[in-house]
Amino acid sequence: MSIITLNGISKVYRTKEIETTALENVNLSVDKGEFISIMGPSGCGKSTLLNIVGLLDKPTIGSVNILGEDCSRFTDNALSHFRNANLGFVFQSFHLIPSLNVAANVEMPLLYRNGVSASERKERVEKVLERLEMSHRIKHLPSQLSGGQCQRVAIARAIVGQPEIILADEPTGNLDSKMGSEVMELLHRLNREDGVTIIMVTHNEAQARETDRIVRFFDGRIIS
Amino acid sequence: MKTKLVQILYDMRHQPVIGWVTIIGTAMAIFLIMVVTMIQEVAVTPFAPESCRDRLLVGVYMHVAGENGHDGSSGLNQKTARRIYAGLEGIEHTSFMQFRSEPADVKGPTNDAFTVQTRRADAEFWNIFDHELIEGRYYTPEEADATSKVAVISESTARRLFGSQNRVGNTFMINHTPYTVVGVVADNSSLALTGSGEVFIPTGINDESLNYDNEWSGDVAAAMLVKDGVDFETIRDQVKARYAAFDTELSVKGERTVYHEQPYDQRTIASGLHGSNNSPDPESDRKIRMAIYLILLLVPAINLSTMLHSRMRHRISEIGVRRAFGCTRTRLIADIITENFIVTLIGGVIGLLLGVVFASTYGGLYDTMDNFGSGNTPSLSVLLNINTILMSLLFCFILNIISAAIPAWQASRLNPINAINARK
Repeated sequence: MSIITLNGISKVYRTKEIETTALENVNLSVDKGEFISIMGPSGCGKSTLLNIVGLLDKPTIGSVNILGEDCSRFTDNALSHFRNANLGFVFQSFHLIPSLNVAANVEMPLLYRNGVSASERKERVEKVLERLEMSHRIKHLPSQLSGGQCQRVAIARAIVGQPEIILADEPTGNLDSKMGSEVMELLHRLNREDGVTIIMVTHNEAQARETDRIVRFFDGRIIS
Repeated sequence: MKTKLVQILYDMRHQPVIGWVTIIGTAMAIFLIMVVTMIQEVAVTPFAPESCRDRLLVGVYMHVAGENGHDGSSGLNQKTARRIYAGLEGIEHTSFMQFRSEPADVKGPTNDAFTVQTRRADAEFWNIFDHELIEGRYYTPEEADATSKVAVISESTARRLFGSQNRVGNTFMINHTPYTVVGVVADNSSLALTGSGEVFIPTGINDESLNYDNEWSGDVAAAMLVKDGVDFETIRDQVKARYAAFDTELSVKGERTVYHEQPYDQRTIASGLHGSNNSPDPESDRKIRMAIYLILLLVPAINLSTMLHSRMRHRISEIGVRRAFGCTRTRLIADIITENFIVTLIGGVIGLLLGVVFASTYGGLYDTMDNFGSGNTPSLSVLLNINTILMSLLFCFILNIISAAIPAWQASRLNPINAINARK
């Protein structure tokens, strides 16, 4: 069953001088529980696609359907609520909030969700950190963690709200191979155990091969 | 809230200059607004010897204009003051007195001459202004009518003249004329413009020294204690009628009075009397006051806004991440404003403390500037009353809204992707 459907997506960036086509007539369906990799050279439109699927950017042309909802028509507020409820993000540079400790970083998405009490937030944060074996670092600041640990916290933040979909933009790009493998193992575990749909942008062919499907991009188009 | 406090502490550690400038800037702004409010409040809040301010009216000047272009104004002479202001309905006590105290040299039996502020007033003065009697008595109506050479002096003046013994009944010189002390009152502050003084001398209908001429001008004003519940306008209506009656006499010489909405209440006196030829203009005074508040508000607001903008620049990526995880624009604006409000409030509390320190010394400073030097200043509760504190809090709130609104709005308009990648 398709959980994400992109129909005829094009994205054109316009400045006064130049017009750049980042995506051109992209059609893509992702099934529930699927773990797909998006590959392609730098500047081919991978991240743009991820941003559009993540509802952080709007296509110039085309429609985005996620979980049966036509998201192209959403207001900014509706997009925020939808992202909060259904999408989790993992970034290459982790993007943890430096002033907050691990618990507060992981808790953040729950702050924007109505009806989650402080005690429930605390419980969910502790549970997810325990699952990701980060409980011992709960009070630590991001600056006190290794890169691998930071990415684990970022993954904890992405899943604490129990989203259906995780969007990972080169999640191992800033990690050494050992830590990268650990993070990949974690993502596979989440996909396997929770049935979370994962779309991952990567340059790592080996990691991509471990996923269910590889979508290859070139010059804003899907080539395979 | 805890998260916001953590964020503020983090900002303070990582951007200490911006953080401290923000807090100190806010503190100074709040402090300044408190000083301005205090100066305003002390001029209208009742305190001894002007505990009657809520019921006080003062007739100060008369303005007479002639058909021949003659135009003059001054205080009143003894006779005209009584003609306009004596026996008005709704008045509990009327004192005929000098509106402003005047400096005079005094000399005791053993010391060198020194300058004090003297005020001539009749005996009703003591029924209106609550000077605390420390020793002896106030002078009597008979002594006032007779312009007796007696005086009531303040405690510190008594000490300078005679030390601490044998003050009542003792004699001292005012501008080379001997006066006998009949009473000693507590030191009082010159912030009480109408009722304060260091030496009080009796004056009455027969005291020619306060008359400039026999027609109407002199140095006499009328201070009136209005009965409880009586509308000031009913008093002014009576005064206006008496002005009209007086005009019939003046018209023989082609002159008429110009009524300037007298007698004045304390708020009008506090706003400043712009010369005896002009009506007080509380509206323009209010505008000037608002302009001062606006400057005091806008200058730090612009400064704080710049500081907040700078703080936000370091948090662009965080804003993007928050937006990605579902923070709405409204929520982001609210969060930034709340965070800024906490910072403003911290600055505000520091400003408030500075204000308390200032208030506890301000009266003394004011007296010193005004050459009273009595040291008996209005209490802290007069200077730092609820209006001053509420004004400061309101100022804090407005300052926060003005300074945070633009940076918060700009942050909310950031494209999440650009923000995550720390691009503006």
